[in-house]
Amino acid sequence: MSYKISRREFLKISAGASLTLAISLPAQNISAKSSSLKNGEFSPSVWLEINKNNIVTVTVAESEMGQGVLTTLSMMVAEELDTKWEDIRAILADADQKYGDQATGGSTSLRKNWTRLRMAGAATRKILIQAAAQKWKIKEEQCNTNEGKVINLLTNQILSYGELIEIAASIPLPEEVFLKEKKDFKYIGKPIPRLDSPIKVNGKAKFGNDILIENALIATVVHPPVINSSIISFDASRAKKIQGVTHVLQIDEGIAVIAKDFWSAKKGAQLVDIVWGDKKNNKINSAYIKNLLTKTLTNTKEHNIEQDLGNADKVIANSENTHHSEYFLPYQAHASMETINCTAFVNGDKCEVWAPTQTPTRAKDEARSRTQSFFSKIKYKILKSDDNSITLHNTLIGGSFGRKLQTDFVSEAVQISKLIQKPVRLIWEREQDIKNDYYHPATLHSLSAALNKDGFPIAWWHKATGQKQRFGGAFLPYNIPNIRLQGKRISLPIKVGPWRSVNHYYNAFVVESFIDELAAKSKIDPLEYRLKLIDDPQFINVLKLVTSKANWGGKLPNGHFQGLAMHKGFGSYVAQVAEISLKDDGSIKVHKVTAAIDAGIAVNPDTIKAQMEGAIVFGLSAALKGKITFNNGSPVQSNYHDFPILKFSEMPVIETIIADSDKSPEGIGEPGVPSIGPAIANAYYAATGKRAYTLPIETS
Amino acid sequence: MPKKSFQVNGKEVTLDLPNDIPLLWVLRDHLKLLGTKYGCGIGQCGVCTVHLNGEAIQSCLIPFSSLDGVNVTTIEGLSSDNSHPVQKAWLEESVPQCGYCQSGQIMAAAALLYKNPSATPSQIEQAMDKVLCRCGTYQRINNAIKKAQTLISMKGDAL
Repeated sequence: MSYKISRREFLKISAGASLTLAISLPAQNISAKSSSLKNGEFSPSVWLEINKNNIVTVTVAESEMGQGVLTTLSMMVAEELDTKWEDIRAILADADQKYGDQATGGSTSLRKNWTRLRMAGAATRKILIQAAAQKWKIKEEQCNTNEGKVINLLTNQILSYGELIEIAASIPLPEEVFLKEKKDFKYIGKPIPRLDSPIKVNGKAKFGNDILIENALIATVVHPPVINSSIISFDASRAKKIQGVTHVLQIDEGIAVIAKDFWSAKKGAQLVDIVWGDKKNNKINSAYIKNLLTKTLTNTKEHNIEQDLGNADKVIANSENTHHSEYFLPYQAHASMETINCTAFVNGDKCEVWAPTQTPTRAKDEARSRTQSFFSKIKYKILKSDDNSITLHNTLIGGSFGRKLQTDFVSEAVQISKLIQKPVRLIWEREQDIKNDYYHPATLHSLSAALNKDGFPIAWWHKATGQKQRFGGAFLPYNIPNIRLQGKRISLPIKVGPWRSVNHYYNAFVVESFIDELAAKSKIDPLEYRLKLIDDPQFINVLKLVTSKANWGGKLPNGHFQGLAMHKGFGSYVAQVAEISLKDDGSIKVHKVTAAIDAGIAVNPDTIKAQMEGAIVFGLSAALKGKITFNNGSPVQSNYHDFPILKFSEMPVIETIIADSDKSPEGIGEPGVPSIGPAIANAYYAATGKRAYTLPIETS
Repeated sequence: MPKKSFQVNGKEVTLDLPNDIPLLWVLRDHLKLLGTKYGCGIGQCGVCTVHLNGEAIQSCLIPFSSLDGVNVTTIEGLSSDNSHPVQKAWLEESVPQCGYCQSGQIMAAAALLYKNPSATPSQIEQAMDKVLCRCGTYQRINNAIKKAQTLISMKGDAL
């Protein structure tokens, strides 16, 4: 397929030692299909550099938090550039306006880079061919490429890309490029090993809290025990007696204890005597929250209507065959293995930050806002050019799942460095990390349906509430003539934020649990029931793939039961079958999860499998293990002993089937999470006849 | 403060530190060996696992006072070129995602296989239950341990 290159989209920058190609794109994300752009600012977004030794360096503006983005995005460049995979290097970009708004979330990295990165590779290849043709004084058509070399088809002479970069630097950008058809892909579609595996296996990978800066001190922060309570006074005399403690300071978020090493800072933090004021939030506990959710859910007059198809309320009121359920999902923590951390060095109006962040752009803004005087900030706002004073390096992230979309840790590290006038490495203790999370919010849902004489739904009414509650993923894939979705958010001072799969997590749980209840009420097989209600071929395909592979409806080992669920989110279709048994104490043992995903063209099938395994484990932890509760205005849980996550021995066998597709790639980081919870809950019903109306499932 | 001398990755070190500082922070903050990670500080997550006299231990629980004369191996001492059979197997099975827990996972698996190269599935479970992974790489860890067992028994790879 041919793609036109707009001069405003692509900008070639040449240098003596290497050829670089920068793609310019507007600051906002573009649709992957849009290859010619009109309005908006244009600034380089992705850099591709070839040096004399044929090494191709791809600078990735996304964040690497385990999802494999360094590798997958590089594969797309290598595919069209036609280079040797061994010659590819990937590096993380610092935060810079030229990359547009740098934020990695919503499973969008592949979607937003699919066309533009392949175009970058193809344009560079075309320039290199032109350079060789010029040197050999032949036509472009008389040249071809193979793994980093241009071949003269008349003489079989060969020039490596590295040998061509000087000539290439003088060649203008091509006006259009041709991108390969799927059948011609060499790297795309292959399980290419990750570029970052070797350094993650020998301990050399540098995460945020592995950044060593000369003369840096280590800091930790004591946060309010009751949400938002203020500090009336503090006495640091006991803390300062700890050898190694250098400073005890108040910052906006709490009391920072700074020391020569982490252990001294931690010991010092335990000894700061703080008088906390303003404890009005200590009334917040789990019962208080549940009560507020219930009141808000019942007070339908104040609800916003999100979808209103037909007359769901009237049909249900007038029907003889109805069904009603309520579901509650609690707060959840991210609990990445790497606790919150950030390294910062403020020097006057300048600041350098090393942060494991999903949002380099916002993290840099936060650093600027905490570093600079009012006048410097105004100057920056007006001129928008003095960007050199703040540097933000994006480090490898040791797990995030949405948590590191926040910038609270950047704020803290920069404030501390500014106060002590030294570089500082902030490291939160695990207890601070769990208790000061931006939690996945608790939600309460009421579902009602009316069924026709054949047992299929003719009306569906979903009411929901929670902090930042949304209906993404609640819009039904099922053909039902009367649908109403309505709800209202509650307001609480608990910090909440995105958590792997966000609102799709709770909406898929209630939708896929309730549809299973309706199937059971109508005594129809859950697969057959769903197939009768859908017509989207991609959904039908993943359902058939997964149930066939999992031997749905077939003979299972004694005491084993299956549950089915499906969900579309982040562009991808997923269906899962969970196979469980019950242990002697009635708790659930998950033996196997079979999953089918249609994520468009599978760029790296091994990464898709890894992300599905990861998403399923993440969902299983929430379905079987931990939750966050509140008491006296404080989260109760503090570490992995009371916020447990799935362990090695609890790992089921996971088998992922990737649907064949010719469509553009879709999300893979999050789509596997939403349907595992309901698949487990539905299997639990098959095993016990009992419905799970909450996660984690209460089995006792 | 008491002085302690011990071996880390084959090198003798002598340090003067408070009695209660855990080995984890001795390694990270005082010896700048950053491959060993902090996860929970209370022996719950195992990402700080290293070898102490050949045994897998959680370094956040071992105080400096107990280090005199011991022999510590960290991920940096396993091999720096990924030639150890456990590291080889880890690469072949593409285990890491975020990678933060992997030093601990690898050290736990290596200690198990040193002692018992033909560890059974339940022995593997027992050893590996001590190290958590939020990214969910357990299936690949399991496959990699089995692959390492093959590398050791069939190809005679040295541990």
